[in-house]
Amino acid sequence: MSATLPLRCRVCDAETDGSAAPIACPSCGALLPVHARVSPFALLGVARPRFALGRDELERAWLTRSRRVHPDRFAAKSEAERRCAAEQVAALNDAKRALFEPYDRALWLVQQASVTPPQLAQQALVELMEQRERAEEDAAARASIVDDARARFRARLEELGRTLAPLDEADDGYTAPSPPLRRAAALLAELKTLARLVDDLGGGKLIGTLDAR
Amino acid sequence: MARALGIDLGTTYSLVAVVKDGRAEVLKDEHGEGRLPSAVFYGDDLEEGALVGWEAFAAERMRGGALLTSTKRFMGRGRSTAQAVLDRGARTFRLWPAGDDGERLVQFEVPDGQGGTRACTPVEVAAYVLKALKDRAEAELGEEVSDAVITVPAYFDDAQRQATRDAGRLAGLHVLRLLAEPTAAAVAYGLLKEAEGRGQGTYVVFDLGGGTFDVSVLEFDRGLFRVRATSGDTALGGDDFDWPLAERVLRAAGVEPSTALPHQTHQALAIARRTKEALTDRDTVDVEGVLTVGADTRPVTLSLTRTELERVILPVVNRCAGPCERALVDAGLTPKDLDGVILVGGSTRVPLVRAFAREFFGREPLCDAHPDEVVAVGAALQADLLAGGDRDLLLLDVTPLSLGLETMGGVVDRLVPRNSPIPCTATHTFTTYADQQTAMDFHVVQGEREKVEHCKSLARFTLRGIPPLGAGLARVAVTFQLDADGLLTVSAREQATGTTTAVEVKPSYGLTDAEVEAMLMASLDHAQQDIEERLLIEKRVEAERVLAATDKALREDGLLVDVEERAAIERAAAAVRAATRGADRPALESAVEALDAATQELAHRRMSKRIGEALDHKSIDEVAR
Ligand SMILES: [Zn+2]
Repeated sequence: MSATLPLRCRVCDAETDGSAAPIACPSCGALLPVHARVSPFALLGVARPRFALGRDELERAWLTRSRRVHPDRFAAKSEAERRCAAEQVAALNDAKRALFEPYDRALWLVQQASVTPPQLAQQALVELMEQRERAEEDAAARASIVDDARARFRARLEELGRTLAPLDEADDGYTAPSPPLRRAAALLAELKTLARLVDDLGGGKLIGTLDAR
Repeated sequence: MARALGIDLGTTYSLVAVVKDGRAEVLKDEHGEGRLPSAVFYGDDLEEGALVGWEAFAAERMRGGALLTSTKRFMGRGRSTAQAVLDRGARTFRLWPAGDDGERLVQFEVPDGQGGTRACTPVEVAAYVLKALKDRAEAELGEEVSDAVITVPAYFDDAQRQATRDAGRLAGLHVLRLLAEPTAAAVAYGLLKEAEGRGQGTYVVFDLGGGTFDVSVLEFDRGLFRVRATSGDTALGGDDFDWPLAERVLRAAGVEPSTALPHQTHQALAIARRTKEALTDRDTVDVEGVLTVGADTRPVTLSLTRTELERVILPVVNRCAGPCERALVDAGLTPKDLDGVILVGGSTRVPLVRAFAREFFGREPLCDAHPDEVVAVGAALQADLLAGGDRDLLLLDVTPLSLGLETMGGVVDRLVPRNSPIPCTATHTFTTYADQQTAMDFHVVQGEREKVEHCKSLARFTLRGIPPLGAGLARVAVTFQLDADGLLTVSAREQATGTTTAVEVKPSYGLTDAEVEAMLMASLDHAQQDIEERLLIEKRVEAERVLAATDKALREDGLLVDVEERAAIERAAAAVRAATRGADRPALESAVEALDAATQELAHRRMSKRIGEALDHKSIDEVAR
């Protein structure tokens, strides 16, 4: 996870370690490119991948770095630096999209450790389909089904936090498959299905948006 | 440092501003008027081209021809949008007859200046307006200026943005950036307030123009402008207030609106607009004007009270509520979290619109920025920065609409959700679904709905040359790249073999790059496009891609085919080459298909060879990567 990622300055050709997503070349001060394999956590100033992160904290890190690397700030600089700025800001915005929402963040962590979210268990699927049918037949029940699904979504999200908490504390919690990560993957599959149910019943999107709800 | 212009390309009026001695200033015409009507007149006897702005209106009163106004509504839109306007009754233009592929783009019928007619696109009209503003700036500054920031409604989709960019190119402008109108307004307003020491806070920009409505929630903090959320409606604006009034004018002059001629409709709309404007500070008005009926000039008077006007426009104003609601929800805010509401756009002068904003956001809107000029001024400030000016200013904008791909069952797989900061990239990997599948179709869409048919289709493309494998074995990575203008580029890359096939698609709204090039060459005056020709050009590009892939395969793995097979491939390739030189599109299509078929076996063997090589050196895991 903390392997070095060699990065070459496009202005003076000096080599640095890109793993912590450095902004400026230590030799000449020019803006550096972004290593293709740099972690989105590093881009947002989080030393090690972890699940428990505050939205405000990420937001601040994103803003601070945006101020420094945005291409508009480099309009008068060399072509090489302008290209670096474009890469930096795109990588930064991609990191924001990958990590801002707890669901997306957990998905990133789980996939990073080569765990794939499983298909939902047959029984859970049947139950969800029944609820959907019930809501479609009985408009009165709809609101309470949506509320229930949302409550379950919140509860599973909390469970996800509890499941991943020990991995946040370990040095290499997210480098290889482990029982908590498999459990997290199962929770993600359920969260996705619940979000789909709520959305289908007109209750709005619980995942897949960057909205600050 | 080269100067750069800030251009507000509006539905009814357009403006140009530039930074002089550190201050942004709107450039005026010889009458001291900053606004240039976004109107272009094509005269029956105007061989030299067209007239723009106030001159266009004046010319229509004197001579025969076609006056095109409010065409921004049709930028990057399909023909049905324009047909819907005609069907509703505002017949200010004639549509060019549709070809076989007529749905794709709006084309107006205008005189060609030589006694006939020709087709003309909204892009061309916009280019004339932009060119007139460029000329104004050059006359004022006494130097050539080609760099510009052009503003677009925040809620413009990809096709509408592409069309605007192309219009800039046609006008001889180097477009540094397409900037969202409410963001531009916020910049101008924020920097103004900053000078007063109050440059911080969260604001809503409520921007109702002639034809579009945007609402953005922005935060500013010492030169940093950050869009939190944006929403809007690109088919809602002050123009919608005018038509019901124009209908009354036409009837008063004894003209049935549904059979009115374009010039009569323009005259009636002008009277309607004057009436609307007069009612901003009076409760009752009688506006006089004339309507040309046959050889007669008939005087007409429109008498209206503000109450009557408000009854007519209330349903239109109420349509602002949905986008306002959504912008707040997306930003995670309620009205009481805001520090202010900034009104932008000429239509926010209408008292009912102000009342709506006051009521919805629960506060008195701020009116200390000039609603007509603030967008152009903000664009000029950003232009100055991009031209290398030293200015503590940074804009962080977002994409207004989600972007995705169609998947099985017509469901949208969202790659970039709305309100994502731009520029950004996103990649999804797809696997083949059939054995021996060698091509994959992609459909790029933009919009918020779950089903493809409810979203806007941006582009379709096919990735060919996928090695024939079992279902699910070949993997294709599709990458979306959204640039700072909010414009999308999509590429697809086949991964399983390490050999890459990539195609790049710029979503098209009916004009290809080649066509815009052609229009540039032919000059504005004779710009004309033929849909069949465009399809042919696209097909040629595809044919060249297939030919290049074939050459590469023969060069690298020529030993995998025997003499006869090789001859067959070369025959098929020669046929494609010959067909690309001709103008017969169906013939070219079948030649490409024949070449595809002839190279099928070679592709298969190349694949087996690659796998064999790979297995010799690497673990299966790495091969499948
Ligand atoms: Zn360096």
